[in-house]
Amino acid sequence: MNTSSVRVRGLKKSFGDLAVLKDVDLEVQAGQVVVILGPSGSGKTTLLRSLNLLETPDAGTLEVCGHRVDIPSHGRFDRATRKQVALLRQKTAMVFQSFNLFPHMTALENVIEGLISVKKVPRAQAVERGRQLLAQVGLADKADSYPAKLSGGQKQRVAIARGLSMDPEVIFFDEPTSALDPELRDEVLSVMRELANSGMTMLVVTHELRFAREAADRVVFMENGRVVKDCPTEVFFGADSGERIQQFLRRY
Amino acid sequence: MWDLFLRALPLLQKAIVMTLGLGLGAFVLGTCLGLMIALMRISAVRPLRMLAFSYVSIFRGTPLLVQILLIYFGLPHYGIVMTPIPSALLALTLFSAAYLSETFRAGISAVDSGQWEAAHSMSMGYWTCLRRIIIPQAFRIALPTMGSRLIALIKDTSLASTITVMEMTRVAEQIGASTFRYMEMFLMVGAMYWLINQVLTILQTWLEGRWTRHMR
Repeated sequence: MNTSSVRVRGLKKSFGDLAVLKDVDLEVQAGQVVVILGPSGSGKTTLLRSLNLLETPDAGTLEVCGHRVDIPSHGRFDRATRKQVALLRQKTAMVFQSFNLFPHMTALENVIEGLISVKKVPRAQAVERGRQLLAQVGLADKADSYPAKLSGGQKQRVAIARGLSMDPEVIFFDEPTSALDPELRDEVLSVMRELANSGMTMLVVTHELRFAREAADRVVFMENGRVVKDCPTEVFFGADSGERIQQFLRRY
Repeated sequence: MWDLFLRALPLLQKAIVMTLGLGLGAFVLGTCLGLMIALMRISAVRPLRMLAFSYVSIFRGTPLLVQILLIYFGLPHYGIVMTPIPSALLALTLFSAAYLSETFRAGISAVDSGQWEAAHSMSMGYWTCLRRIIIPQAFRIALPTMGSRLIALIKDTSLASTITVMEMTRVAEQIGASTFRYMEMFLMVGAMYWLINQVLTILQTWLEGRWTRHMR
């Protein structure tokens, strides 16, 4: 099945006078792992957050997991569009730089919250699935721990399990390891690598070049609100990727 | 003083129940109303925000005593007649709701915006997110201030004495008048207010520790 999971056309977003996204097009096929690289302020995170409408773009069209949202030229989303946004969000998951776990819930409760309050899955069934997912990210023994008692790497793995609980077709990762100490990054990256190997469609904003090199099918390079380069990983890291990319890669 | 205390005891017992009933009753009702007003204050709908803002402005900006007197003596002119106890309860509720709404608003805005985003990203709706994610955290943040409001409210019930509600202050005044032992009577109820509020403070501290234990 070679369908696109994400298709974005003409996406624009400004914060005041600052144009953060200038006419961005992007397409991600189901099963692909795409890493978005670029210097700070290039619009990577804004692009990712636009895909599940955490950020409302100013203009453009996006189609995510079969749900199409046309950004209205002015005014608010109508009811039909809001419905599309809700459906789109059910088929996607997001992992945040700052984890955003629910601090008043245990790891297990965090993981099953969406199943219970969004998908209305019976509690016993949700708990069973939750334990499975915690085991998958190597945290079966932390089910009853509160986020405050977990390390950064453990928190991020719980957050990934929470995202997986909704059976997403795509997962968006927004700098998932940037808030972590170097020695904690690997445990998160290895969970992400396993997910990539299992065929999950992933869009990853990151500064981890090694992860991009090892796990990505494609690299999208952004600068000043535009996609400057969009190519297979081996081309991106190859010798002929162009002067700007070489310069960027040398800095890391 | 002991003999006076024993003589006053039957009346004081009823008065304590009245004071606690008015204070806790107004606190519970004020919490419900205050939460609604806080949600209106942060709503995307401008008229709702304006309404909530005006409410807080009026009920926080005027003396509670004036509100009590207006409800008890003023409203009958418009055909709304209430007995003293419901009048006092209504005034205390409306008054405390104004303060509590600000407490809740502060609590809700203090919850990290990432919590909303995490909930939205899993397609959780506005109300579910409020109920499951935001309000449980906002309550924990608001708890110390809520405790202060409850203590203030217990003391504010003394104003109900002006409209003949037989709560602690009015009982002290009456027994004082009939025995000419004002000093002792008011010292006595003063100590009782203090004692009630100490118990409430301990309760608040205990709840705070229990609820926020996991979040630290």
